[in-house]
Amino acid sequence: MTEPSPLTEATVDSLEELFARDPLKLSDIDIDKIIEEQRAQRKRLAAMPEKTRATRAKKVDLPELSAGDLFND
Amino acid sequence: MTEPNSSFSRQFPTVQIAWDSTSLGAYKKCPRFYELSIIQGWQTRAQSVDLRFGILYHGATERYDHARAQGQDHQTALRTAIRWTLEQTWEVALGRAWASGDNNKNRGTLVRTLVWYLDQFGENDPFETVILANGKPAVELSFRMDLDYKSHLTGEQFILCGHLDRLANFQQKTYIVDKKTTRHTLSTDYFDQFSPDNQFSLYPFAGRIVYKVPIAGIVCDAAQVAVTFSRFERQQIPRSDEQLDEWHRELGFWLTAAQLNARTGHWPQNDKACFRCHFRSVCSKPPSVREQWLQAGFVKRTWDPLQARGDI
Repeated sequence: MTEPSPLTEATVDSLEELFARDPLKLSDIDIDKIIEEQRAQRKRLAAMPEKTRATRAKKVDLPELSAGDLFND
Repeated sequence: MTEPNSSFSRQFPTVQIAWDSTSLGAYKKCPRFYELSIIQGWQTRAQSVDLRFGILYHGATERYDHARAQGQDHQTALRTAIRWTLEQTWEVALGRAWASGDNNKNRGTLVRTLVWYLDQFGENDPFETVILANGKPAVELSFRMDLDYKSHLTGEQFILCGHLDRLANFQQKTYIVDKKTTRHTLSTDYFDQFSPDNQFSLYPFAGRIVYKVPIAGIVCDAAQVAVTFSRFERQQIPRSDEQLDEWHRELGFWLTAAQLNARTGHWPQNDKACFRCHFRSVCSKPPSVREQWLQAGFVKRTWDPLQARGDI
């Protein structure tokens, strides 16, 4: 196992790591990081051209559809 | 019923005395749906996610409003709301976060929706929350009012009850603001579903009586919760006094009909209301095997309008 270099910058906890941590152990700075990440995500989304934004087909549970549904008045 | 439900008569346990929009709406939709979802308390696991998500969304925004009313700035109040949300969605016994199993409604999309919503409306909301005489913001207000209808079976007076999300002033008028979270696109069709609609008539009807202030209307404050984004839209849902009076007159019919069902012990299917109904998979089976299907695919909870909070 190699020792971490003292020159390595302290890593900022990822959103995933913060979400996986017991919230009672989160500092105000950690909560602010979570908030900032949500804001950054919003900005990234706003900067994307409309066409490239993820869209999702409406979920249809086919086995639950019947002929009656199709001809429902 | 799963456990004693304070909203039902003690004399006649299937006669509901205290009605909220969820239980009344369930009965209006279909007596069988009401029997299964309210009297017996069955719900699907997906409904359970929607309910929990809705309760947490309301709870977090309520905490934000209280923090602001106490003088906290936006960022501090937001942090309070997010911290509360993270704590509420932490399964202490399991040592891990709430896993909803739902792509749209989960812990991550809840936090995202709250931050985006409160950043958009927290500081610069044209709707200003009414501050009550006790200095507290008019959010998550429980109401309970006696109706002028009595049970023919027990003589008890019916009660209308519920929780208003928020009272807010906008351009010198007071509105009821109702928050909704949905997976669906916030189109005209989405808002059209509220006219006519039981909940969006019940709230302004009760609001004008309980709060003794002229309620100008009800505003649907909707949040679309998609997998990768959240979006918000508000729309006023108009109701005239004439419409509210009509709703109240017809309420008498529904309460009478529900007592007839309780007296006969029979809650018939409205088989024109089955499309997209959660209980379709059960009601489409022969009566003798329905209980097994309920046990296999549904979970039980008690819906007590005098206790419950959260709509979906």
